[in-house]
Amino acid sequence: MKKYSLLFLLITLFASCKKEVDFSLKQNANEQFYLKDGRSNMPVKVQGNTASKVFILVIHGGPGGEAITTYNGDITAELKKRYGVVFWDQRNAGNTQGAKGEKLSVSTYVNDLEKLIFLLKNKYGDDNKYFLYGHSWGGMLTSSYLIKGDNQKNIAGWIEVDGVHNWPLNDVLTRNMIDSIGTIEMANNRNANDWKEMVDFCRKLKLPTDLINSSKLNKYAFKAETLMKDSIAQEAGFQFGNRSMANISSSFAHSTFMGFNSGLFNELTVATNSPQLAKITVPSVFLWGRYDFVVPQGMMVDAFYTVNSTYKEAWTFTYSGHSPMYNQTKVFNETVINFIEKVR
Amino acid sequence: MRTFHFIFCWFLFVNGVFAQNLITQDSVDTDKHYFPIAVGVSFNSNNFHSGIRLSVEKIHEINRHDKYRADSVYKTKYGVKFINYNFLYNRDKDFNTSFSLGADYGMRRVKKKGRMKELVVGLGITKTFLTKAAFTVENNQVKQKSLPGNLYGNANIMAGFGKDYSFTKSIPLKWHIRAGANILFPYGSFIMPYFAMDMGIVYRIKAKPFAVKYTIKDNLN
Repeated sequence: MKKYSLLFLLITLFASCKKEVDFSLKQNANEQFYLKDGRSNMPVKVQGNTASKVFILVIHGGPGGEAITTYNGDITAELKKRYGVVFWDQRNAGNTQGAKGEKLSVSTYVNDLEKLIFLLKNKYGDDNKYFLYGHSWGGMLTSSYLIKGDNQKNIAGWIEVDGVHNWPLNDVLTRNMIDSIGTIEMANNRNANDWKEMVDFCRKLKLPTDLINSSKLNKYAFKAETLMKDSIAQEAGFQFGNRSMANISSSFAHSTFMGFNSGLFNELTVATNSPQLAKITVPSVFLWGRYDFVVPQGMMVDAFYTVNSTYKEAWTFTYSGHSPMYNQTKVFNETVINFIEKVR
Repeated sequence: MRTFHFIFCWFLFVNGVFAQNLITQDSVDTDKHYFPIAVGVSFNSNNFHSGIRLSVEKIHEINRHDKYRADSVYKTKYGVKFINYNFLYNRDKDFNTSFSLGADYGMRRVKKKGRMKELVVGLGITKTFLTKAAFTVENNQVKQKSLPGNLYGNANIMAGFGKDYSFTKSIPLKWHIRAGANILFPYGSFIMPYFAMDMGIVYRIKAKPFAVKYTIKDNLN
Protein backbone atom coordinates (compact mmCIF):
# COMPACT_ATOMS: atom_id res chain seq x y z
CA MET A 1 0.00 0.00 0.00
CA LYS A 2 2.90 2.32 0.82
CA LYS A 3 4.27 1.83 -2.68
CA TYR A 4 0.98 2.83 -4.28
CA SER A 5 0.63 5.84 -2.00
CA LEU A 6 4.10 7.01 -2.95
CA LEU A 7 3.39 6.49 -6.64
CA PHE A 8 0.10 8.37 -6.35
CA LEU A 9 1.87 11.22 -4.54
CA LEU A 10 4.57 11.43 -7.21
CA ILE A 11 2.04 11.45 -10.03
CA THR A 12 -0.02 14.11 -8.25
CA LEU A 13 3.04 16.27 -7.66
CA PHE A 14 4.20 15.86 -11.26
CA ALA A 15 0.76 16.56 -12.66
CA SER A 16 0.15 19.59 -10.50
CA CYS A 17 3.36 21.39 -11.40
CA LYS A 18 2.67 24.32 -13.67
CA LYS A 19 5.27 26.47 -15.35
CA GLU A 20 5.24 30.09 -14.33
CA VAL A 21 5.32 32.93 -16.84
CA ASP A 22 6.10 36.48 -15.83
CA PHE A 23 3.44 38.56 -17.56
CA SER A 24 4.43 41.81 -15.88
CA LEU A 25 5.23 44.75 -18.16
CA LYS A 26 8.94 45.54 -18.21
CA GLN A 27 11.63 47.10 -20.36
CA ASN A 28 13.47 43.92 -21.22
CA ALA A 29 10.90 41.16 -21.37
CA ASN A 30 11.84 37.71 -22.62
CA GLU A 31 9.06 35.22 -22.02
CA GLN A 32 7.97 32.15 -23.91
CA PHE A 33 4.76 30.19 -23.59
CA TYR A 34 2.47 28.17 -25.80
CA LEU A 35 -0.97 28.73 -27.22
CA LYS A 36 -2.59 25.31 -27.26
CA ASP A 37 -5.44 24.52 -29.57
CA GLY A 38 -6.45 20.93 -30.11
CA ARG A 39 -3.30 18.94 -30.80
CA SER A 40 -1.25 21.98 -31.82
CA ASN A 41 1.07 23.64 -29.33
CA MET A 42 2.06 26.94 -30.87
CA PRO A 43 5.02 28.76 -29.26
CA VAL A 44 4.75 32.46 -28.50
CA LYS A 45 7.78 34.51 -27.55
CA VAL A 46 7.35 38.00 -26.13
CA GLN A 47 10.50 40.11 -26.09
CA GLY A 48 11.48 43.73 -25.72
CA ASN A 49 10.04 46.74 -24.00
CA THR A 50 6.56 45.66 -22.94
CA ALA A 51 6.53 48.55 -20.44
CA SER A 52 5.84 50.78 -23.46
CA LYS A 53 2.37 49.16 -23.52
CA VAL A 54 2.78 48.75 -27.27
CA PHE A 55 2.97 45.23 -28.69
CA ILE A 56 3.88 44.31 -32.26
CA LEU A 57 2.56 40.89 -33.28
CA VAL A 58 4.77 39.38 -35.96
CA ILE A 59 2.65 37.23 -38.28
CA HIS A 60 5.11 35.24 -40.35
CA GLY A 61 4.97 34.16 -43.95
CA GLY A 62 4.54 30.80 -45.54
CA PRO A 63 2.15 29.29 -44.78
CA GLY A 64 4.51 27.02 -42.95
CA GLY A 65 7.21 29.62 -42.21
CA GLU A 66 8.64 30.51 -38.84
CA ALA A 67 8.73 33.62 -36.62
CA ILE A 68 10.70 33.05 -33.45
CA THR A 69 14.14 33.02 -35.06
CA THR A 70 13.50 34.16 -38.64
CA TYR A 71 12.12 37.55 -37.59
CA ASN A 72 14.28 37.85 -34.51
CA GLY A 73 17.81 39.18 -34.06
CA ASP A 74 19.04 42.28 -35.89
CA ILE A 75 15.90 42.88 -37.92
CA THR A 76 13.74 43.57 -34.89
CA ALA A 77 16.40 44.75 -32.43
CA GLU A 78 15.42 48.42 -32.76
CA LEU A 79 11.73 47.59 -32.44
CA LYS A 80 12.37 45.59 -29.26
CA LYS A 81 14.15 48.55 -27.66
CA ARG A 82 10.97 50.59 -27.95
CA TYR A 83 8.12 48.09 -27.93
CA GLY A 84 7.16 44.59 -26.97
CA VAL A 85 7.48 42.24 -29.94
CA VAL A 86 5.44 39.05 -30.05
CA PHE A 87 6.78 36.20 -32.18
CA TRP A 88 4.19 33.53 -32.85
CA ASP A 89 4.82 30.32 -34.77
CA GLN A 90 1.53 29.46 -36.42
CA ARG A 91 0.08 25.98 -36.46
CA ASN A 92 1.92 23.60 -38.79
CA ALA A 93 4.85 25.98 -38.82
CA GLY A 94 8.21 26.56 -37.18
CA ASN A 95 8.49 25.26 -33.65
CA THR A 96 4.83 24.37 -33.32
CA GLN A 97 4.55 20.86 -31.96
CA GLY A 98 1.82 18.30 -32.36
CA ALA A 99 -0.16 16.95 -35.23
CA LYS A 100 -2.62 18.57 -37.54
CA GLY A 101 -5.92 18.39 -35.74
CA GLU A 102 -8.37 19.21 -38.46
CA LYS A 103 -8.42 20.19 -42.09
CA LEU A 104 -6.56 23.46 -42.42
CA SER A 105 -8.11 26.57 -43.87
CA VAL A 106 -7.55 30.32 -43.62
CA SER A 107 -10.34 30.49 -41.04
CA THR A 108 -8.42 28.03 -38.80
CA TYR A 109 -5.49 30.43 -38.72
CA VAL A 110 -7.77 33.41 -38.13
CA ASN A 111 -9.29 31.60 -35.13
CA ASP A 112 -5.79 30.99 -33.79
CA LEU A 113 -4.90 34.66 -34.18
CA GLU A 114 -8.11 35.66 -32.38
CA LYS A 115 -7.16 33.35 -29.53
CA LEU A 116 -3.62 34.68 -29.40
CA ILE A 117 -4.80 38.29 -29.13
CA PHE A 118 -7.35 37.32 -26.50
CA LEU A 119 -4.62 35.55 -24.54
CA LEU A 120 -2.24 38.52 -24.78
CA LYS A 121 -4.92 40.95 -23.68
CA ASN A 122 -5.89 38.66 -20.86
CA LYS A 123 -2.34 38.26 -19.58
CA TYR A 124 -0.68 41.59 -20.40
CA GLY A 125 -3.67 43.87 -20.09
CA ASP A 126 -6.54 45.14 -22.17
CA ASP A 127 -5.29 48.71 -22.29
CA ASN A 128 -2.16 47.98 -24.32
CA LYS A 129 -1.89 48.83 -28.02
CA TYR A 130 -1.55 45.83 -30.31
CA PHE A 131 -0.19 46.23 -33.85
CA LEU A 132 -0.37 43.48 -36.48
CA TYR A 133 2.83 43.08 -38.52
CA GLY A 134 2.01 40.68 -41.33
CA HIS A 135 4.60 39.60 -43.85
CA SER A 136 3.85 37.75 -47.11
CA TRP A 137 1.25 35.05 -46.27
CA GLY A 138 0.89 36.98 -43.01
CA GLY A 139 -0.83 39.64 -45.14
CA MET A 140 -3.59 37.19 -46.03
CA LEU A 141 -3.93 36.16 -42.41
CA THR A 142 -3.94 39.67 -40.94
CA SER A 143 -6.35 41.04 -43.55
CA SER A 144 -8.68 38.05 -43.01
CA TYR A 145 -8.54 38.75 -39.28
CA LEU A 146 -9.26 42.44 -39.67
CA ILE A 147 -12.28 42.03 -41.95
CA LYS A 148 -13.91 39.47 -39.63
CA GLY A 149 -16.56 40.68 -37.21
CA ASP A 150 -15.42 43.41 -34.83
CA ASN A 151 -11.82 42.22 -34.58
CA GLN A 152 -10.54 45.69 -35.50
CA LYS A 153 -11.43 46.97 -32.05
CA ASN A 154 -8.57 44.86 -30.67
CA ILE A 155 -5.98 46.36 -32.99
CA ALA A 156 -4.29 49.77 -32.95
CA GLY A 157 -2.74 49.48 -36.40
CA TRP A 158 -1.92 47.26 -39.35
CA ILE A 159 1.66 46.99 -40.61
CA GLU A 160 1.51 45.20 -43.94
CA VAL A 161 4.91 44.08 -45.28
CA ASP A 162 4.90 42.65 -48.80
CA GLY A 163 1.72 40.82 -47.85
CA VAL A 164 -0.73 39.13 -50.13
CA HIS A 165 -4.46 39.63 -49.68
CA ASN A 166 -5.57 38.53 -53.15
CA TRP A 167 -3.94 35.36 -54.51
CA PRO A 168 -5.28 35.43 -58.10
CA LEU A 169 -4.29 39.09 -58.47
CA ASN A 170 -0.87 38.26 -57.07
CA ASP A 171 -0.36 35.60 -59.74
CA VAL A 172 -1.13 38.19 -62.42
CA LEU A 173 1.24 40.74 -60.89
CA THR A 174 4.06 38.22 -60.49
CA ARG A 175 3.68 36.95 -64.04
CA ASN A 176 3.74 40.48 -65.46
CA MET A 177 6.72 41.56 -63.37
CA ILE A 178 8.84 38.55 -64.32
CA ASP A 179 7.90 39.09 -67.97
CA SER A 180 8.67 42.82 -68.04
CA ILE A 181 11.87 42.87 -65.96
CA GLY A 182 13.02 39.57 -67.47
CA THR A 183 12.72 41.03 -70.96
CA ILE A 184 14.87 44.02 -69.99
CA GLU A 185 17.46 41.81 -68.32
CA MET A 186 17.67 39.50 -71.34
CA ALA A 187 18.09 42.50 -73.63
CA ASN A 188 21.03 43.56 -71.48
CA ASN A 189 22.39 40.02 -71.50
CA ARG A 190 22.25 39.59 -67.73
CA ASN A 191 21.51 35.98 -66.71
CA ALA A 192 19.73 35.64 -70.03
CA ASN A 193 19.32 31.86 -69.90
CA ASP A 194 17.71 31.90 -66.46
CA TRP A 195 15.36 34.72 -67.39
CA LYS A 196 14.40 33.08 -70.70
CA GLU A 197 13.10 29.98 -68.97
CA MET A 198 10.98 32.08 -66.59
CA VAL A 199 9.78 34.56 -69.19
CA ASP A 200 8.74 31.73 -71.53
CA PHE A 201 6.79 30.12 -68.70
CA CYS A 202 5.06 33.40 -67.85
CA ARG A 203 4.11 34.17 -71.44
CA LYS A 204 2.48 30.76 -71.84
CA LEU A 205 0.74 30.89 -68.48
CA LYS A 206 -3.00 31.43 -68.63
CA LEU A 207 -4.52 32.99 -65.54
CA PRO A 208 -6.26 32.22 -63.26
CA THR A 209 -4.27 29.05 -62.93
CA ASP A 210 -4.13 25.93 -60.81
CA LEU A 211 -2.12 25.14 -57.68
CA ILE A 212 0.80 23.56 -59.56
CA ASN A 213 1.38 26.51 -61.89
CA SER A 214 0.80 29.00 -59.08
CA SER A 215 3.46 27.24 -57.00
CA LYS A 216 5.86 27.20 -59.94
CA LEU A 217 5.26 30.92 -60.48
CA ASN A 218 6.02 31.51 -56.80
CA LYS A 219 9.25 29.52 -57.12
CA TYR A 220 10.28 31.57 -60.16
CA ALA A 221 9.48 34.78 -58.27
CA PHE A 222 11.99 33.89 -55.56
CA LYS A 223 14.52 32.91 -58.23
CA ALA A 224 13.99 36.23 -60.04
CA GLU A 225 14.78 38.09 -56.83
CA THR A 226 18.07 36.25 -56.48
CA LEU A 227 18.96 37.22 -60.05
CA MET A 228 18.46 40.88 -59.11
CA LYS A 229 20.77 40.64 -56.11
CA ASP A 230 23.02 43.41 -57.41
CA SER A 231 20.10 45.83 -57.03
CA ILE A 232 19.05 44.60 -53.60
CA ALA A 233 20.76 45.57 -50.35
CA GLN A 234 21.35 43.12 -47.52
CA GLU A 235 21.78 44.89 -44.20
CA ALA A 236 20.85 42.01 -41.91
CA GLY A 237 21.66 38.35 -42.24
CA PHE A 238 19.66 35.38 -41.20
CA GLN A 239 20.42 34.58 -37.57
CA PHE A 240 21.54 30.96 -37.87
CA GLY A 241 23.01 31.12 -34.39
CA ASN A 242 19.56 31.48 -32.90
CA ARG A 243 18.31 28.23 -34.36
CA SER A 244 18.47 24.97 -32.51
CA MET A 245 18.49 21.68 -34.39
CA ALA A 246 15.02 20.96 -33.03
CA ASN A 247 13.85 24.24 -34.52
CA ILE A 248 15.43 23.38 -37.87
CA SER A 249 13.97 19.86 -37.90
CA SER A 250 10.53 21.04 -36.92
CA SER A 251 10.54 23.92 -39.43
CA PHE A 252 11.84 21.60 -42.14
CA ALA A 253 9.09 19.07 -41.41
CA HIS A 254 6.36 21.69 -41.48
CA SER A 255 7.52 23.47 -44.62
CA THR A 256 8.35 20.27 -46.51
CA PHE A 257 5.11 18.47 -45.79
CA MET A 258 2.86 21.53 -45.83
CA GLY A 259 1.81 20.38 -49.30
CA PHE A 260 -0.08 17.53 -47.63
CA ASN A 261 -2.58 20.22 -46.64
CA SER A 262 -3.73 20.53 -50.23
CA GLY A 263 -7.06 21.79 -48.94
CA LEU A 264 -5.41 24.95 -47.63
CA PHE A 265 -3.43 25.61 -50.80
CA ASN A 266 -6.40 24.92 -53.05
CA GLU A 267 -8.31 27.47 -51.00
CA LEU A 268 -5.47 29.97 -51.26
CA THR A 269 -5.16 29.88 -55.05
CA VAL A 270 -8.60 31.48 -55.30
CA ALA A 271 -8.57 33.43 -52.02
CA THR A 272 -9.17 37.15 -52.19
CA ASN A 273 -9.92 39.77 -49.54
CA SER A 274 -9.83 42.72 -51.97
CA PRO A 275 -13.56 43.51 -51.96
CA GLN A 276 -13.70 43.42 -48.17
CA LEU A 277 -10.58 45.48 -47.47
CA ALA A 278 -12.87 48.52 -47.51
CA LYS A 279 -14.08 47.38 -44.09
CA ILE A 280 -10.65 48.13 -42.64
CA THR A 281 -10.60 51.43 -40.79
CA VAL A 282 -7.64 50.96 -38.42
CA PRO A 283 -4.51 52.99 -39.22
CA SER A 284 -2.45 51.10 -41.79
CA VAL A 285 1.01 51.27 -43.27
CA PHE A 286 2.07 49.36 -46.37
CA LEU A 287 5.77 48.61 -46.69
CA TRP A 288 7.05 47.08 -49.92
CA GLY A 289 10.29 46.15 -51.61
CA ARG A 290 10.72 47.52 -55.11
CA TYR A 291 12.12 44.25 -56.38
CA ASP A 292 9.55 42.01 -54.77
CA PHE A 293 8.56 39.51 -57.44
CA VAL A 294 6.80 37.26 -54.92
CA VAL A 295 4.18 39.83 -53.94
CA PRO A 296 4.71 42.76 -56.31
CA GLN A 297 3.90 46.37 -55.49
CA GLY A 298 0.58 46.22 -57.32
CA MET A 299 -0.72 44.43 -54.25
CA MET A 300 0.27 47.41 -52.12
CA VAL A 301 -1.54 49.77 -54.49
CA ASP A 302 -4.68 47.62 -54.37
CA ALA A 303 -4.65 47.55 -50.56
CA PHE A 304 -3.75 51.22 -50.08
CA TYR A 305 -6.60 52.50 -52.25
CA THR A 306 -9.17 50.02 -50.94
CA VAL A 307 -8.82 50.29 -47.16
CA ASN A 308 -10.78 53.03 -45.40
CA SER A 309 -8.19 53.53 -42.70
CA THR A 310 -8.38 56.69 -40.65
CA TYR A 311 -4.69 57.09 -41.35
CA LYS A 312 -2.65 55.29 -44.00
CA GLU A 313 0.83 55.35 -45.48
CA ALA A 314 2.56 53.43 -48.25
CA TRP A 315 6.33 53.14 -48.65
CA THR A 316 8.48 51.49 -51.26
CA PHE A 317 12.02 50.47 -50.34
CA THR A 318 14.19 51.06 -53.38
CA TYR A 319 16.86 48.47 -52.64
CA SER A 320 14.64 45.73 -51.27
CA GLY A 321 13.00 42.55 -52.42
CA HIS A 322 10.36 40.45 -50.69
CA SER A 323 11.78 41.07 -47.21
CA PRO A 324 12.73 44.73 -46.79
CA MET A 325 13.30 44.20 -43.06
CA TYR A 326 16.42 42.21 -44.05
CA ASN A 327 17.36 44.34 -47.06
CA GLN A 328 17.09 47.85 -45.59
CA THR A 329 16.73 47.10 -41.92
CA LYS A 330 17.52 50.55 -40.54
CA VAL A 331 15.18 52.62 -42.68
CA PHE A 332 12.52 49.91 -42.50
CA ASN A 333 12.46 49.95 -38.71
CA GLU A 334 12.49 53.76 -38.66
CA THR A 335 9.40 53.74 -40.87
CA VAL A 336 7.63 51.25 -38.60
CA ILE A 337 8.53 53.28 -35.49
CA ASN A 338 7.38 56.56 -37.09
CA PHE A 339 4.05 54.98 -38.00
CA ILE A 340 3.49 53.57 -34.51
CA GLU A 341 4.40 56.85 -32.84
CA LYS A 342 1.92 58.70 -35.07
CA VAL A 343 -1.04 56.45 -34.36
CA ARG A 344 -0.50 54.89 -30.93
CA MET B 1 -5.45 4.83 -32.43
CA ARG B 2 -4.02 3.22 -35.55
CA THR B 3 -0.57 4.28 -34.40
CA PHE B 4 -0.96 2.32 -31.18
CA HIS B 5 -2.20 -0.75 -33.05
CA PHE B 6 0.82 -0.54 -35.31
CA ILE B 7 3.23 -0.24 -32.40
CA PHE B 8 1.50 -3.02 -30.50
CA CYS B 9 1.80 -5.29 -33.54
CA TRP B 10 5.50 -4.42 -33.75
CA PHE B 11 6.03 -5.50 -30.15
CA LEU B 12 4.23 -8.74 -30.89
CA PHE B 13 6.39 -9.23 -33.94
CA VAL B 14 9.73 -8.80 -32.20
CA ASN B 15 8.66 -10.99 -29.33
CA GLY B 16 7.41 -13.53 -31.84
CA VAL B 17 10.79 -13.61 -33.54
CA PHE B 18 12.45 -14.15 -30.19
CA ALA B 19 10.09 -16.94 -29.13
CA GLN B 20 10.35 -18.72 -32.43
CA ASN B 21 14.10 -18.86 -32.18
CA LEU B 22 13.92 -20.38 -28.74
CA ILE B 23 11.72 -23.17 -30.00
CA THR B 24 13.45 -23.95 -33.26
CA GLN B 25 17.00 -23.90 -32.04
CA ASP B 26 18.81 -26.82 -33.53
CA SER B 27 22.31 -26.32 -32.35
CA VAL B 28 23.07 -25.24 -28.84
CA ASP B 29 26.42 -24.22 -27.54
CA THR B 30 27.25 -23.67 -23.92
CA ASP B 31 29.98 -21.17 -24.54
CA LYS B 32 29.85 -19.06 -21.41
CA HIS B 33 30.99 -15.94 -23.18
CA TYR B 34 27.52 -15.32 -24.52
CA PHE B 35 24.68 -14.07 -22.43
CA PRO B 36 21.24 -13.41 -23.75
CA ILE B 37 20.21 -10.49 -21.57
CA ALA B 38 22.10 -7.28 -20.99
CA VAL B 39 21.42 -3.82 -19.70
CA GLY B 40 22.88 -0.72 -21.22
CA VAL B 41 23.20 2.96 -20.64
CA SER B 42 23.70 5.35 -23.52
CA PHE B 43 24.34 8.98 -23.97
CA ASN B 44 21.77 9.72 -26.60
CA SER B 45 21.58 12.89 -28.58
CA ASN B 46 18.59 13.81 -30.69
CA ASN B 47 19.29 16.89 -32.74
CA PHE B 48 22.08 17.73 -30.28
CA HIS B 49 19.69 17.50 -27.33
CA SER B 50 21.32 15.28 -24.84
CA GLY B 51 19.60 12.43 -23.12
CA ILE B 52 19.96 9.03 -21.61
CA ARG B 53 18.88 5.69 -22.98
CA LEU B 54 18.38 2.68 -20.77
CA SER B 55 18.02 -0.57 -22.59
CA VAL B 56 17.61 -4.25 -22.06
CA GLU B 57 19.12 -6.34 -24.79
CA LYS B 58 18.12 -9.89 -25.58
CA ILE B 59 20.33 -11.85 -27.89
CA HIS B 60 18.33 -14.52 -29.60
CA GLU B 61 20.65 -15.83 -32.25
CA ILE B 62 24.38 -16.12 -32.72
CA ASN B 63 25.88 -17.55 -35.86
CA ARG B 64 29.56 -18.34 -35.90
CA HIS B 65 31.25 -18.35 -39.27
CA ASP B 66 34.65 -19.99 -39.46
CA LYS B 67 36.53 -19.46 -42.65
CA TYR B 68 39.60 -21.51 -43.26
CA ARG B 69 42.13 -20.26 -45.70
CA ALA B 70 44.71 -22.09 -47.72
CA ASP B 71 47.53 -20.92 -45.45
CA SER B 72 45.87 -22.71 -42.52
CA VAL B 73 44.84 -19.44 -40.92
CA TYR B 74 41.18 -19.27 -40.14
CA LYS B 75 38.96 -16.30 -39.52
CA THR B 76 35.99 -16.31 -37.22
CA LYS B 77 33.08 -13.93 -37.39
CA TYR B 78 29.94 -13.89 -35.31
CA GLY B 79 26.58 -12.77 -36.56
CA VAL B 80 24.45 -11.71 -33.62
CA LYS B 81 20.74 -10.90 -33.80
CA PHE B 82 19.23 -9.14 -30.86
CA ILE B 83 16.28 -7.20 -29.57
CA ASN B 84 16.58 -4.04 -27.52
CA TYR B 85 13.87 -2.73 -25.27
CA ASN B 86 14.56 0.93 -24.67
CA PHE B 87 13.59 3.72 -22.38
CA LEU B 88 14.85 7.01 -23.68
CA TYR B 89 14.92 10.46 -22.12
CA ASN B 90 15.85 13.63 -23.97
CA ARG B 91 15.60 17.26 -23.04
CA ASP B 92 15.87 20.57 -24.84
CA LYS B 93 15.09 23.46 -22.54
CA ASP B 94 13.53 25.54 -25.33
CA PHE B 95 11.62 22.75 -27.04
CA ASN B 96 10.49 19.81 -24.97
CA THR B 97 11.34 16.99 -22.63
CA SER B 98 10.62 13.63 -24.16
CA PHE B 99 10.29 10.09 -22.90
CA SER B 100 10.25 7.20 -25.33
CA LEU B 101 9.57 3.50 -25.02
CA GLY B 102 10.56 1.33 -27.91
CA ALA B 103 11.79 -1.96 -29.27
CA ASP B 104 14.69 -2.31 -31.68
CA TYR B 105 15.64 -5.27 -33.78
CA GLY B 106 19.33 -5.37 -34.52
CA MET B 107 22.00 -7.28 -36.34
CA ARG B 108 25.61 -7.22 -35.30
CA ARG B 109 28.67 -8.59 -37.00
CA VAL B 110 31.52 -9.26 -34.53
CA LYS B 111 35.04 -10.11 -35.57
CA LYS B 112 37.33 -12.38 -33.64
CA LYS B 113 38.91 -9.55 -31.65
CA GLY B 114 35.53 -8.18 -30.70
CA ARG B 115 35.33 -5.29 -33.14
CA MET B 116 31.79 -5.01 -34.34
CA LYS B 117 29.44 -3.25 -36.73
CA GLU B 118 25.72 -3.15 -36.18
CA LEU B 119 22.47 -2.07 -37.75
CA VAL B 120 19.36 -1.40 -35.71
CA VAL B 121 15.76 -0.63 -36.69
CA GLY B 122 13.14 0.21 -34.14
CA LEU B 123 9.69 1.44 -33.35
CA GLY B 124 8.24 3.03 -30.26
CA ILE B 125 6.14 5.72 -28.74
CA THR B 126 7.29 9.13 -27.55
CA LYS B 127 5.59 11.35 -25.02
CA THR B 128 6.77 14.94 -24.94
CA PHE B 129 6.27 17.56 -22.27
CA LEU B 130 6.62 21.19 -23.22
CA THR B 131 9.20 23.05 -21.18
CA LYS B 132 7.10 26.22 -21.04
CA ALA B 133 3.57 26.96 -19.91
CA ALA B 134 0.69 26.36 -22.32
CA PHE B 135 -2.66 28.12 -22.37
CA THR B 136 -5.94 27.35 -24.06
CA VAL B 137 -8.57 29.89 -24.96
CA GLU B 138 -12.08 28.46 -25.03
CA ASN B 139 -15.34 30.35 -24.68
CA ASN B 140 -13.50 33.55 -23.77
CA GLN B 141 -11.70 31.84 -20.93
CA VAL B 142 -7.97 31.35 -20.59
CA LYS B 143 -6.83 28.17 -18.90
CA GLN B 144 -3.33 26.96 -18.20
CA LYS B 145 -2.81 23.31 -19.08
CA SER B 146 -1.04 20.93 -16.75
CA LEU B 147 1.76 18.94 -18.31
CA PRO B 148 1.16 20.03 -21.89
CA GLY B 149 2.73 17.87 -24.53
CA ASN B 150 2.12 15.45 -27.34
CA LEU B 151 2.17 11.74 -27.98
CA TYR B 152 3.86 10.46 -31.11
CA GLY B 153 4.94 7.22 -32.66
CA ASN B 154 8.61 7.02 -33.55
CA ALA B 155 10.69 4.91 -35.88
CA ASN B 156 14.43 4.80 -36.22
CA ILE B 157 17.23 3.25 -38.17
CA MET B 158 20.77 3.45 -36.84
CA ALA B 159 24.13 2.06 -37.85
CA GLY B 160 27.14 1.90 -35.62
CA PHE B 161 30.37 0.33 -34.55
CA GLY B 162 32.01 -0.65 -31.30
CA LYS B 163 33.73 -3.44 -29.47
CA ASP B 164 32.38 -6.43 -27.61
CA TYR B 165 34.85 -7.59 -24.98
CA SER B 166 32.93 -10.74 -24.17
CA PHE B 167 34.28 -12.34 -27.32
CA THR B 168 37.93 -11.94 -26.40
CA LYS B 169 38.44 -11.24 -22.75
CA SER B 170 35.32 -12.75 -21.26
CA ILE B 171 34.41 -9.33 -19.95
CA PRO B 172 30.64 -9.05 -20.30
CA LEU B 173 30.84 -5.55 -21.65
CA LYS B 174 30.53 -3.81 -24.96
CA TRP B 175 30.53 -0.23 -26.15
CA HIS B 176 29.01 1.21 -29.25
CA ILE B 177 28.60 4.45 -31.17
CA ARG B 178 25.59 4.67 -33.42
CA ALA B 179 24.21 7.33 -35.71
CA GLY B 180 21.04 7.32 -37.69
CA ALA B 181 17.73 8.83 -38.57
CA ASN B 182 14.54 8.99 -36.57
CA ILE B 183 11.05 10.12 -37.42
CA LEU B 184 8.21 11.24 -35.21
CA PHE B 185 4.70 10.68 -36.51
CA PRO B 186 2.21 12.14 -36.92
CA TYR B 187 3.88 15.53 -36.71
CA GLY B 188 2.34 18.61 -38.30
CA SER B 189 0.90 17.45 -41.58
CA PHE B 190 2.93 14.24 -41.75
CA ILE B 191 6.20 13.40 -39.96
CA MET B 192 9.27 15.04 -38.46
CA PRO B 193 12.57 13.51 -39.52
CA TYR B 194 15.65 14.15 -37.40
CA PHE B 195 18.96 12.53 -36.69
CA ALA B 196 20.27 10.94 -33.56
CA MET B 197 23.54 9.74 -32.09
CA ASP B 198 23.95 7.15 -29.42
CA MET B 199 27.09 6.32 -27.47
CA GLY B 200 26.67 3.59 -24.97
CA ILE B 201 27.93 0.71 -22.97
CA VAL B 202 26.11 -2.56 -22.43
CA TYR B 203 26.77 -4.87 -19.55
CA ARG B 204 25.51 -8.42 -19.72
CA ILE B 205 24.09 -9.40 -16.41
CA LYS B 206 22.40 -12.72 -16.80
CA ALA B 207 23.90 -15.95 -18.00
CA LYS B 208 21.46 -18.11 -19.87
CA PRO B 209 23.49 -19.27 -22.83
CA PHE B 210 21.19 -22.21 -23.48
CA ALA B 211 18.43 -19.82 -24.48
CA VAL B 212 20.38 -18.66 -27.50
CA LYS B 213 20.29 -20.25 -30.87
CA TYR B 214 23.94 -20.85 -31.59
CA THR B 215 25.07 -22.29 -34.87
CA ILE B 216 28.50 -22.84 -36.32
CA LYS B 217 28.99 -22.56 -40.01
CA ASP B 218 32.24 -23.26 -41.76
CA ASN B 219 33.52 -23.69 -45.24
CA LEU B 220 35.04 -27.14 -44.76
CA ASN B 221 32.35 -28.95 -46.72
